[in-house]
This record gives sequence, C-alpha cells and structure tokens, in this order.
Amino acid sequence: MQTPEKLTRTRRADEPRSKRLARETPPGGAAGHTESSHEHPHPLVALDYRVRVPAMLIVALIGIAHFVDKPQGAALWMAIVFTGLVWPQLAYLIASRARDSKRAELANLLFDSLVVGCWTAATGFSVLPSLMMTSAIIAACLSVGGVRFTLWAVASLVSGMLAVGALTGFHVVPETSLLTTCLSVIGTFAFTSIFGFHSHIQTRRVVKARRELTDQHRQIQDQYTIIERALQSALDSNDAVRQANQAKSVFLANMSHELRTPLNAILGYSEMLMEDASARGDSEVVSDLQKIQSAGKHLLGLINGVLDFSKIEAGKMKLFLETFEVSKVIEEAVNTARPLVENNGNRLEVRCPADIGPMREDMTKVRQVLLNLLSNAAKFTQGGAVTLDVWRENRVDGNWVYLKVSDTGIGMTPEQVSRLFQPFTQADAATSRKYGGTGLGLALTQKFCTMMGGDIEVESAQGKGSAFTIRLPGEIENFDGEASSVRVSTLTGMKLTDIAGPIPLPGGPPKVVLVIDDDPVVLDLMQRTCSKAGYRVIATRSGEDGLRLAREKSPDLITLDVVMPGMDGWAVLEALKKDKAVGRIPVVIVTIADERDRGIALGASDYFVKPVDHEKLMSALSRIRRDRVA
Amino acid sequence: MSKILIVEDNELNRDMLSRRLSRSGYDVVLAVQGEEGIAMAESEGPDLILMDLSLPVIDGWEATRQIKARTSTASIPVIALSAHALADDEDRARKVGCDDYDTKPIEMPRLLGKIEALLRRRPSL
Repeated sequence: MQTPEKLTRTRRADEPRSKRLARETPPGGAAGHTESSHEHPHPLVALDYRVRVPAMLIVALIGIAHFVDKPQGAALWMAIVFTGLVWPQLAYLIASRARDSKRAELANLLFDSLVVGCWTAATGFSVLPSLMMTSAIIAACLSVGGVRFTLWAVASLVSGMLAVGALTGFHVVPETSLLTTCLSVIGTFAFTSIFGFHSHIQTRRVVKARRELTDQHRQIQDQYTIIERALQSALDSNDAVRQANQAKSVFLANMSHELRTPLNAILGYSEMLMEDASARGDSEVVSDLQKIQSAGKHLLGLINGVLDFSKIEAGKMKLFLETFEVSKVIEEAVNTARPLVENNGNRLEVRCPADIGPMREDMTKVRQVLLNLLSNAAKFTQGGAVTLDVWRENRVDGNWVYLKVSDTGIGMTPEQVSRLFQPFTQADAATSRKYGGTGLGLALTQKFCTMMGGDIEVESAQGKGSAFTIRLPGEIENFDGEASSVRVSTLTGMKLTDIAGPIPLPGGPPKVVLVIDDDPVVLDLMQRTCSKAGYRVIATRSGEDGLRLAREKSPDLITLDVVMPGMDGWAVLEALKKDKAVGRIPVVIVTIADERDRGIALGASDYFVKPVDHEKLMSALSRIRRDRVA
Repeated sequence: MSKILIVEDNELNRDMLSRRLSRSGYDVVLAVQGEEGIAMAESEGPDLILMDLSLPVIDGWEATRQIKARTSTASIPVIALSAHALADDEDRARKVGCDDYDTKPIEMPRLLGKIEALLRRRPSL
C-alpha cells in the first residue's frame, strides 16, 4: 500500500505516460468500474488499488487465523469480508469518481490506517502482525503523503486501536499461532517486495523522464538556435534589401540629375542655334536642329517617366488636391491633344455634359492621364475618330467621374492587352519602332489612377480600335480642406493617409546639422534625410571646411566622416573637441571605418558604420539633441 | 537693363544660360560657387539671382539662406534652379527663401516669364 510521491512530481513533465498508466490499469471486475465523467483519476488511485487488494487480503487472513479457534460472531465475519474483499474495491470506486481523486485517495489511506488500527487491537496486539501492519501503513503514508499526512494516519491508526481496544478491554495476546506468524512473515515479505519493486520502477521512470526532458530541452535549444539564425538571416537580408532599395533611389535621383545637366546644355544650345538659323532664314539647318530638339525632349520625357516611376515606387509621389471644374480640365487636355489627333487625319469628338460639375482631385495628374490617353489614341489611329466621353455616376460605393477615350485605330490582341500596363512594354517591339513612344505612358497612367483612388479599364479588338475608361472618385474622402496640406498616397494601400510634410522637431526653429563627408552621394543622402527630419543642413566635403563652418555657424549637431582627403575625421574631431567654442557640439561619426572605441574616446557622441540605417541615425540625432537640451 | 546674377557650377550650363539671357536683353554676371555667389550678390547688387541648388561646398539652399539673411541682399529675388526635379528640392528651396523655382533642362519662355514676373514685382530703384 504505497505509491512514491515522486510520481506525482514527474507527472507534468511526463503527462502522456501517467495518463496511459491510469488508463491501462483496470479496476478489477468486481467493482464494476464505470468510466468517470471527470478527467482521468490521479495515478495514485490505481497504484494504491494494486497494493491495497493483496495487503487488505493479508490483514483479513491474519484476522481469520487469529479468530479461527476462538468464538466468533457474524459481525466479525462481516468485518473480515469487508476488510479483505469489499474495502479495496470500494476505495477505488470512491477515489476514481471523486472530483479530486488524489484527495479522496488520501482519505482512503486514512481509512486504511483506521482499519489497520482496528485489526491490530482486535488481534490482541500480537507482535509480528502488529509490526507488519503498522509499519506497512506508516511506510505507505510517508511515501504518499509526507510527514504531516503520516501524523494524521498515525492518529487514525491509534483511534482504531483505542476504539477496538475499548471493546476488547485491551486484551493482549503475546503469543501468536504458527499460521498468523507465517501470514505476517509472508505479508512483510510481500509488502517489502512490492514497495521495493515500485520504488525501482518509479526511480527508473524518473530517470527516464529526466533524460527525456534533457533531450527535449536540447531539442528545443537546437530549434531555438535554428530559429534565431533564420531570424537573423531574414533581418540581414531585409537590411540588404532596404539598403539596395535605398541605393536604387539614390542612384535614380542622381542619374536623373546627371542626365538632365548635359541635356540642359543640348537643348539650350540647339535652341540658340535654331534662333540664329531662323533669323538667317536657313530652313535646312532649322529642321535638323528641330530633330535634335525633339530627340532631346523625348529623352527628357524618358528621364521624367523613370523618375516618376521611382518616386511612385519609393512612395514619394504626392497628390496635390484641389477642387476644380471637370470641364475646365477636359478643355485644357483637349486643346493640347487636338493638334496631335488631327495630325493623323483623325476627328476628335468630345461628349461631356455641361453640368458635369466640380471634382476634388490632383488636377495636374488628372490632366496628365487624360492627355496620355488622348495622345495614345491619336498615335495609333489613322484617318479615324478619337472620342472622349465624360460622365458622372452616383453609386453605392461613392460618386465617380468617368473619362473614356475610344479610338478606331489598330487595336490590340488580348495578349497585347495583358502586357499593356507594364513599364517599357508597348504592344510589341515592332509597334514601338513604328509609332515611337517611351512605353511608360500607360504604366504611369495606371499608377496615377490607382494613386488617385480610381482605376483604369481597357477594351480592345484588333483592327477595330481600343477604349480606355478611367474611373476617379469625384471627391477624395477625409480631406481636411487645407489648401497647403498635402495628401500622400503610398501605392501599397489604396487608403490615403495624411502626412504633414517634414516631421517637425519639437520646439523652436529648425536645428542645424553640419554634415562633413567627402562623398557627394552621402552628402546628398544625408541632406535629404536630415531635412526630411526637419533639420536645416549645412554640408561640406572637406574636413578643414567643416571645422571652419562649425566655428562660423555653431550648428546644433555635426555628422563627421572619417576617411577624407586632407584633414581626416579624427583630426577634425580632435580639433573640434579642443576648441572651447565648439567643443560642446555633439559629433556623430558616420564612416566605413569600424573604430567605434576610438571615436567615442575622442569625444564622439555616437558612432555609425556605413551603410547607415538612416532611421536609426535620425533617432540618434534627435536623442542626442534632446539630451543636450535637457 | 536689369542685371541678373547666375550662380552655377556647370560650365556649359553657365555659358549657355548667360548667352541666352544676354540675347534676351539682360546684363549677366556669373558666379561659380556658393560663396562667390553670396559675395557677388553683395558687390554687384543684381536685380535677380538664378541659383543652382546643387553646388559644391556651400550649396544653393545655404547660399540663398545667407543672401536672404543679409539686409543688403535680402530683397533680391532668387529663382532656384535644380536638375533634381524632386518635390523635396522645391519645398526646401521655398523654405530657405527662394522666390521661385524652375527645373532643368530650362525652357526659356517659362524661365523668362518667371524672371519678368519677379522683376515687375520688385519696385524699380
């Protein structure tokens, strides 16, 4: 009658095992076990049951052996039968049905003690049986319930002894019969064996469970390491992607700048020459110069298109909302497009209700998309008709303005339509050669429409013509009506969100950052990022100049590159920190040289290694500035 | 004859712009760098300044800020010129006190329109 307490301790770590144990242990047919409506009974119940059945049988047999040659009554036999056969089953039934099976089982153990106490007194406190029974019950209680519980069990044991002792007048039988002695010896032997065996099994289980736990722990750690590595590599690649994207934006901005500068000269000089030539009446030269002009303008269109694309993709394209008369924009676009349309021998028809009314949108972009569609129609139609239909619809999902441009031109195959809105793909290469164009117009048109909260649809039949329908909201919602404020739409989501321009720094006029870096690209990037964050930027490409500007302008912050021709960043930092007038200006090193300790030792407030995460840099700048103010 | 100061570091653009403005009847003075531009705004007293924004050392924004900060030159209208064509550039240019903004490549009629508008606004001395 024992169950090592340890089992209950390992239960949680080894849940499936203990549950299986409980399930595997049948209660014995006699008790008529029915499935408990509660969760599985505590494993203790089953274990005790297995010990209780033989133990109580031996107690009963000792009783029989003691009373076999003495006068007995029916009550005694009933007590013997109850102890040996009924009680173990009853105990199991009670415990397994109880809401708290462990508590019920402990109560059973207390009753066991009482029963043992009774039988000890009843068998006249014979040495061997008493020793066997009491030591067994105390060992079991100690093992299952601990010292405090055992004290209760001893009390219960003594109560039994006293109760029955009072009945028998504490009749003591010092000598025992051979049968009783044998039973006691067998009982002691059996109990010790069972106890030992269970201890062995429990120890093995604990050891095994612990080993499994260690394995699981190791596995979890391995998995954790794998996850951590994966996370790190994801972060790394995310970083790399962001840097690459940033590099791309910078590259495009610079490319646009670099291309525009010589183009400015080409267009300017050719225009000057054209003025001279037409003044001289040299028409042949004029026409050649016109070709240079138009080629230059085409190139400019390409650059602008690419720039628009990069701006849209970087989420930098802004919407400037205003309320305007739809008919006014239609008129302007039609006037611009009419010569183009009529050049190809086409008729241009416009069907727009006079009372179409106003709309609230980015007027320039509406005009631009309309112009794109009209010039597109004109380009691909010869001696036909280009029609512009404008109407307004009130639908459940809002008020919409429709602009439909249809033509009787060459049309497109479904395959061509499917590639229509991709940048740099016209219907096909041959079309491109024949009709010219940048291949960006429709792709941009679509992006603009999406930005403005609308969409574009195309129907086309090869050889019969095409029709493009733009749908735009009559009024963009949730706009506060401030003429100066700007709505920014990122193309990732259709929802428009307010961005109040550059994020203002708290308090006072803009703070001045002096950026010292010999790399013009970095300078440019830093200038943009800093001014976006609300700083005013002074930039210089040389250390000497930086030192001078620091003294002249006394900026609020300085960012400093290390590797520079002439005076390097270390020398600048030292000179700055030595100078009383500027020594207190915080300096943030931004460099490719990873010598943080040296920088901090020389007095830098923070240190960033290129490529720099500009968000982090900006938050460091504002933190340093705050600290300084504080 | 109105005098226009061009601050531009690119030689070709400087030459082209100055010749075209001369043809349109303006008196043109040239500066290559930001500091030089600030100094000449003071010494030459032009009626208008065309300021390239991406200049080495002291950029166009900073140069304009300094010109607008000096009482002697604050009233001279400044048109910022940029090849960047990003809205940021214009916002920043307006913030430092530029009176107008144009993108390169320059469209002469457009630029002349802006110049004339600013010159008209300025009380003649």
